[in-house]
Amino acid sequence: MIKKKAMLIDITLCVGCNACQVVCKEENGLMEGEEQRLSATAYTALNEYDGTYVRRMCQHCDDPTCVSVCPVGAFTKTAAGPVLYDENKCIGCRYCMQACPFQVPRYEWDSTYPRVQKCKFCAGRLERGLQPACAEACPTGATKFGDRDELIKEAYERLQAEPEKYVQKIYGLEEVGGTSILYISSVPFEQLGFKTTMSKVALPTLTWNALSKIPSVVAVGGVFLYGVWWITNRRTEVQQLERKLKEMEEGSNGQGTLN
Amino acid sequence: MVVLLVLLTIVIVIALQLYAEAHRHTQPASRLQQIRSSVEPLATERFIHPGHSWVEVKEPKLVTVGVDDFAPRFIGRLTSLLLPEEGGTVRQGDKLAALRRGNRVVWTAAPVSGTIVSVNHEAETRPSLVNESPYNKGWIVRIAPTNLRLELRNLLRGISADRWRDALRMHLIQSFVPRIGTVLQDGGTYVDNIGDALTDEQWQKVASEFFTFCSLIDDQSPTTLHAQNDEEGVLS
Amino acid sequence: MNKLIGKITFWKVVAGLIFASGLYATYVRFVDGLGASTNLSDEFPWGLWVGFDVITGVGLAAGGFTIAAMVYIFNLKRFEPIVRPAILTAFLGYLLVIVGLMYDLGRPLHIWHAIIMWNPRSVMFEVAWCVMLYTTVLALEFSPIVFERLQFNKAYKAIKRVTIPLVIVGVLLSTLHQSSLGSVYLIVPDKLHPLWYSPYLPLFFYISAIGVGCAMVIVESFLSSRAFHRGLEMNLLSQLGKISVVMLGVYLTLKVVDLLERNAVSHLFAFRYETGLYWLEMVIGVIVPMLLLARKKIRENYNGLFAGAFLVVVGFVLNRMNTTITGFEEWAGTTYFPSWMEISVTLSIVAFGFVAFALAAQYLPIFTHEEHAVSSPADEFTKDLKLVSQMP
Ligand code: SF4
Ligand code: SF4
Ligand code: SF4
Repeated sequence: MIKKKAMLIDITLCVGCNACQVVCKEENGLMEGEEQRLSATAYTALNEYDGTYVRRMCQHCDDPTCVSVCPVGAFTKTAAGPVLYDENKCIGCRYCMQACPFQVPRYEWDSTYPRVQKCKFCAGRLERGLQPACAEACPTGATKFGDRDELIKEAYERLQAEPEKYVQKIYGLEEVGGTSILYISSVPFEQLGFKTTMSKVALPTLTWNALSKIPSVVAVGGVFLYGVWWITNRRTEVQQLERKLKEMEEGSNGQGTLN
Repeated sequence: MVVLLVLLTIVIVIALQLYAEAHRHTQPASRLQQIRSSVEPLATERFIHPGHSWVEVKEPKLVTVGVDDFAPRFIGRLTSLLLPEEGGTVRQGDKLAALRRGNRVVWTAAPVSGTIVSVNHEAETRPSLVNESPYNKGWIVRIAPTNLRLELRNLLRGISADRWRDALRMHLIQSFVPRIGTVLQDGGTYVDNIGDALTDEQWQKVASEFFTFCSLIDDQSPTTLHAQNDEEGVLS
Repeated sequence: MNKLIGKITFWKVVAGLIFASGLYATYVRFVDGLGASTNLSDEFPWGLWVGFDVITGVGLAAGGFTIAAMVYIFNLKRFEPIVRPAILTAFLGYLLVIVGLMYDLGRPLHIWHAIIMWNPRSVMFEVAWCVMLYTTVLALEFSPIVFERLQFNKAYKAIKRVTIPLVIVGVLLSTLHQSSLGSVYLIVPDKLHPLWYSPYLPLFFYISAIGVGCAMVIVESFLSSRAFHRGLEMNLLSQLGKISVVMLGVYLTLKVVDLLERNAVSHLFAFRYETGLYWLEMVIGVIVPMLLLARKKIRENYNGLFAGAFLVVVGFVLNRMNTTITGFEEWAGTTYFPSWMEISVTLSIVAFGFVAFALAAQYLPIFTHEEHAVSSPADEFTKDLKLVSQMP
C-alpha cells in the first residue's frame, strides 16, 4: 500500500520569500494574475500577519468535501493524498467552491469555458518519486514533504522540544477528519486566519447521513402512498357498491323513495 | 441585501400594478366598454357567483341579486326564505340569504359587496317563488354596490358560467351516481328536491361539498335563524 | 387574446424592457463569461441565479406535487379543479429552473454529464437526477391536457391509465429533492450563519415547500381569476389556506425547537444585520400569515386569503435568499449584491413564466376541464340531466 503523503508547514520557519509560489507557477504553467491570495492563477499564496507568514493552499483533506459534493465526480482523492480535479467532467456548478471548508477552489471567472483551479499536490512529480515543487524550493524547510505518519511524529517532537515556543496544536491533524497539509505555529492559529472551531468529523458524513436515508424514504414513502391510495380508492368503491345494493333492495320493496 | 432587493422588487411591482389600475380607472371609457355598449342594446348582463347567486347589472348604481337554479333544486321546495334586512351591508362572498326546507338550510353568498336597498318581500312570503323562477320573479335583493367594477372580475359569465353550472351538475351526479340512476329509470323528476332522497347525515355531507355555509337546525322557529345569522355579524 | 393584449399594455411595456435587458445580459453571459456578467467571486461562488432561479424556483413549483397527491392519492376529489393549473405552474417552474441553471453553470453544455458520470455521495447529484426525472413526470402529467386539446384520444386514455403510478413517483421524487435542496447546505456547518444552518435543513425545506406550494396555488388562482375573468373556487382555496397554516405551524414549532436544541436562541437578539433579516423572514413569512390565515373569517375572505397566501410566498422567497446568500456573507467576509445583468436575467425568467402561463391558459384546457376526449357514463348523465331539467 502506498503510504499517505503529507506536508508539514512550520509557520515559525517561513521567512516569506515566496519561493513556493514562484516555483508553483512555473511547475503548473500558471499565468500572471492575482497573487496576494489564492486565485485561479495562484495555487498557493502567502498571507502576512504582523510579520508572520502563512502559506495557503489546498489542504488535500483525507475525506475531502469537494470530492463528495461534486455531482459528476470531477474530483478524486488519490491513495497517496493528492485531491485531483478533472476539468473534462466538470459542469461548472461550483458546489465544490461553496462547500470546501477552507475556501480553496478558485474559478476562472473570465473564461467562457472556465475551470476550477487549485493545488494539485504536484501529483505528477509525486508519481515520479519527486517531492512537490514548493517543498523542494523552500529554502528554510518551512514546507517539508514526507509520509504523513512520520511528519506527525516529527511535528510532535518539535512541539515538545520547544513547548514555550509552539502552540501545542497541529492544525490539520483532525480538522474535518484530518488533512494532508499540517501546520504548526508559535502564534495562536485564530490570529492567523485559521478557523479553529471546525468540526472533527469529515463534512461528507453530514450529507451522507441525509443521503443514506433515501432508499428507506423511497421504500416507506412508496408503500405509504400506495397504501393510502388503495384505502381511499377502495372506500369510495365500497360506498358506491353499498349504495347501489341498498337502492336495489329498496327498489324491489316498492317504487320510488323519491317523489 | 439581496433579501431587501427582492422585497423592493415585489413592492415596486405591486405599486406599479396599483398605479396602472388607478390610471385605467380614470380613463373615460375603455375600448372594451364602448364595444360592449354598442353590441348589447340590452345593456344587461348576468354574472354568476360560485356561492350560488347571480347579479344582474342594468345600471351600476343598483343591481339585482338572486339565487341560482342549483341551490333551490338541491334543497327542494323552500319552506322559508330568510333575507337580510334592508339598509344592512354585505361583502362579496358573505352569507346573503338562507334557503330553508324543514330542518335543512343552505346559504347563498353575496355576489357583490354593498348596501341592501330592498328585498323581495313577495318571495319572502311565498318562498316557492324562488323554486319557480330563480332568475326572474324569484330575485331576492337589490344592492347598491360599493366595489362593483373590481368585484365583477371574480364572477363568471357567459360560457364560463354555463360551464360552471354543467360542472356543478356533473359533480352532483358523480357524488351519488347509483341513486340518481334508479330515479332516472323511474322517469321521475329528480332534479327538484334532490336532497329529499338523503338522510340528514348524508345530506349534510353532500351539501357541504356544494355550499360554503349549510346546516341542519332542529328548532323550527324562524327566529333561531335570525339569531344565528346575526351572530355571524354578517348582516349588521 | 385580443382582450389580453388590450388590457395589459402597461405590463407589456415593462415586460418588453425586461426582455430587452435580459437579452443583452444573455449575450454578455455567454460571450464574455460569468465574470463579466455577474458579481460572483471566489468568495461568493453562488449568487442570485442559484439562490433564486434554482433553489427558490424549485420550491415555488411545489404546488404541483402537493395538489396531485391530495387529489389522486388522498382522494380529495373536490380539489380536482385546481389540479391542472397547479401542474402547469409546476411544469413551467421546473423548465424555468433548468433555464436558470443553464445560465449559472460554468459549462452549461456539459449539463448532461450528470446522467452518465455518477457520484452518489453528492447531494447535488441526487437533486440533479430527481429534477430530471420529476420534470419528465410533470411532462407526462401535463400531457393529457395537450392530448385533450389535440383530441388524441388514445394517447389521452393511455396516459390517464398510469396516473396513479405517475403521481406516486412524482411525490416521491419531489419529497427527495425538495428536502435535498436543504441537504445541499448540510455540508457547510461553519460557513452558514447559525440562524439558518441546522441539521434539520432538509426537513425545513420540505415542510416549507409544501406550505408554499399551497400558497402558490392560491396566489396564482387569484391572479388568473383577475386576468381571465374567471370565478374562484373560494372554498377550495381557503381549505388550501388551512393546510398551509398547518404546515407553517409545524415549521415554526420545529424552528423554535431547533434553535433551542442548538443553543442558538441568543442569535435571535444579537444586534446584527443577519438577525434583522431573519426576523423579517419569520415575521413576514410565517408569523403574520399564520395569524391571518388561522382566522376563519379572514381565510374565507377574498382579500384576506390572498394577502395571507402572498405573504407566505414572499416569506418563503426571503427564507431561501437568506439561506443561500445572507447566511454566507459573514463567513465569506464580503457582501454580495447581484449585478444588474443577474437581476435582469432573473426578471426575464420570471416574466417569461407569466407569459407562458397566460398563453397556456389561453390555448389549453387548463381551467375548463372538459371530459370531451373520453365520454364517460357521467357525461351521458349530464346530458340526460340537462334535458330533463329543461322539462317543465
Ligand atoms: S481543502 Fe478544499 S479543495 Fe482541498 S481537498 Fe479539502 S475540501 Fe477539497
Ligand atoms: S464546479 Fe465542477 S468540480 Fe466543482 S462541484 Fe461542480 S462539477 Fe464538480
Ligand atoms: S504542491 Fe505543487 S501545486 Fe501545490 S502549491 Fe506546491 S507546487 Fe503548487
